[in-house]
Amino acid sequence: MKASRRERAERTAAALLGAASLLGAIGACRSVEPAESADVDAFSAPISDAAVRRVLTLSPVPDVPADPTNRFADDEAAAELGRHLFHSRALSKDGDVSCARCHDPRDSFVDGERLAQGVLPLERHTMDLWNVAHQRWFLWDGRADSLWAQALIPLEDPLEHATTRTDVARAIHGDPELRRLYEATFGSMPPLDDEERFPRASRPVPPNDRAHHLAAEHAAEARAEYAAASEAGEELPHHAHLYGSGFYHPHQRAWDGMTEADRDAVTGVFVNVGKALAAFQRRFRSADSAFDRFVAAVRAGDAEGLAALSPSAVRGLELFVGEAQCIVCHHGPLLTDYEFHDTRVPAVEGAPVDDPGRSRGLESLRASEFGVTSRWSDDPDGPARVKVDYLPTRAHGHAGGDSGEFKTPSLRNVALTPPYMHNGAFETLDEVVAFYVTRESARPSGRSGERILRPLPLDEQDRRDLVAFLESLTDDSLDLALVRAPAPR
Amino acid sequence: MAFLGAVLALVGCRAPGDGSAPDAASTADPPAGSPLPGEPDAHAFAFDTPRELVTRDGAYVVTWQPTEDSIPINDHFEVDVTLARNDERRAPVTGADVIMTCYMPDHGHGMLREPRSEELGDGRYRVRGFLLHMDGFWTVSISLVVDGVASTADDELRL
Repeated sequence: MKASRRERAERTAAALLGAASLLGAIGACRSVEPAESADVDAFSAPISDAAVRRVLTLSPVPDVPADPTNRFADDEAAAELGRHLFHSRALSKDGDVSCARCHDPRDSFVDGERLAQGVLPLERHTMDLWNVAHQRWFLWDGRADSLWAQALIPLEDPLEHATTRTDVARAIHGDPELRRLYEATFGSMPPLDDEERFPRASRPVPPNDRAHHLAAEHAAEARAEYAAASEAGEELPHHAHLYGSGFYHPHQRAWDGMTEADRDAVTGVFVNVGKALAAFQRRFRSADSAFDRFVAAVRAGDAEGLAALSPSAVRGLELFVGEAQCIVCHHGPLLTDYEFHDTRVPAVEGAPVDDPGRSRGLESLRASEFGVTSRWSDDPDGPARVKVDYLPTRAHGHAGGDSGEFKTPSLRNVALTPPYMHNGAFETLDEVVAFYVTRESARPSGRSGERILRPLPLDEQDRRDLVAFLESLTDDSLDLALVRAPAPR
Repeated sequence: MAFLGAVLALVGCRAPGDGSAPDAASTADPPAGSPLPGEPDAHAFAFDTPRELVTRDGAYVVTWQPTEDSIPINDHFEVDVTLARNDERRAPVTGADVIMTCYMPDHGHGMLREPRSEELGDGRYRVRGFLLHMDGFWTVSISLVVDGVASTADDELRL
């Protein structure tokens, strides 16, 4: 059976696409002329007839979709401000974290680490940003519903940039170049150098903010120290008895001291920062891989173009859309369904065993002040609304439980972005493929786990072929001049 | 070669970017570079509609169809449902709560959306908020609650 499958994959599929007349018909209807040199007998699509239909759905990558919730999405001046902000370390608590530190454009927008590192260690792996503007949800748990809203989350996350919206606005206001770029697009800034009106380190701290968890941990430690010191008859730590009760976060305290108009003015600047960062990230395109050239050749009846994929990659493609069933979740031109699944990825050291994933993401999404239907959206009643209007009250997890589901990542440029999975559990694509083939390291099945994931009857060569196909999805030809850090001033 | 015919019919009848649904019962590849509106990789699944079902208890006839006559894969869509008594008069059923869900038994999960219904009158209802994010085998369950009593009709889709 094995041999016959491989044989099928390698044989000439003349019955399906070998006839130039058929290709001509398809090409003409699609306004794509078949290559003139395509010989009736010479052309063959080296994949099965069943695979062709599926493969055609995987390429080309369409244009970046419009985002009416961000009216600056296609504003080049906003994107240029976004480029400066993306690389600016001033947008962090201690001036040492920028977006680019983890999402380095010279390194496929990733850091290469198993788990991300902001001002403190993070519990998930850094996602790459290739074609990010195509996504429906953002971050591993989809807790942002737009690219501009996503961009704001790390800035105020106490583990990531750990800054505040007021400090972000003040940093731009205090930097002549950033301020010039900002005001050219968004108009005059408020008088952010007035520290009475716009105090440093001020922001709203919502109940689900990780600052509360950090404070609780700190309080627990302080109470333990206090108890130990008390028992030993030592001098008691100053104010230790105040920790952990009625905690009023200093960021919130400062925020509450501002007028409502000033709070809105600061949040308005902050939102514009997100929209500029989103406009910039729309440049992160990858759409001309060897695989795309192969599919174009299939469409055009270009026999020579089929050489874009190696025989091993072609066999891997046949498996990907067929027996291995990768395409069930990794479909469409970005090779993702844009949604969430629990594939029972094994736990790793440093990451929580019971990461709630989408369950918590849904809660955070609902609690966010920056949703696509919020007052900060430029089209709150527009087409983006439908994706949040019918979200479930809870994710696939059972009542009271967590789903452990994470977003299906795009596979474009996947070979450039190890390690893999939401917790960086696998160092190589070989390991990822082995995980799905053998299921040996899969976590015990929870109720939300994908039942369809079973061990696959694929041998070593099959696995190598799948990896060869995944490697054919590489296109990092993006002009670095569009995305690199601005020249030092 | 039957598949070839389907490919030609689907591709040939669809001008790039026009967003129209294919007219055959099969999935279709999206037009190059210009997907259906709404989501980046939407493509559509068409089938014979309307679907007419009888509830398990035999009490009602349930008729349903997507409002656009096809179901887009991985994009949002709405469904029209008509409820009638399963007798000779086929009297329309008004005032029902309609709950329509889709499930993938092979995967152990359903949709990642919770559709809601609105009564339009004369036994007609509009259910909004569907998104089938994967192709494959889906079961469809249409429950109606009339005067506190629930009845359910079952259907299947193989996308």
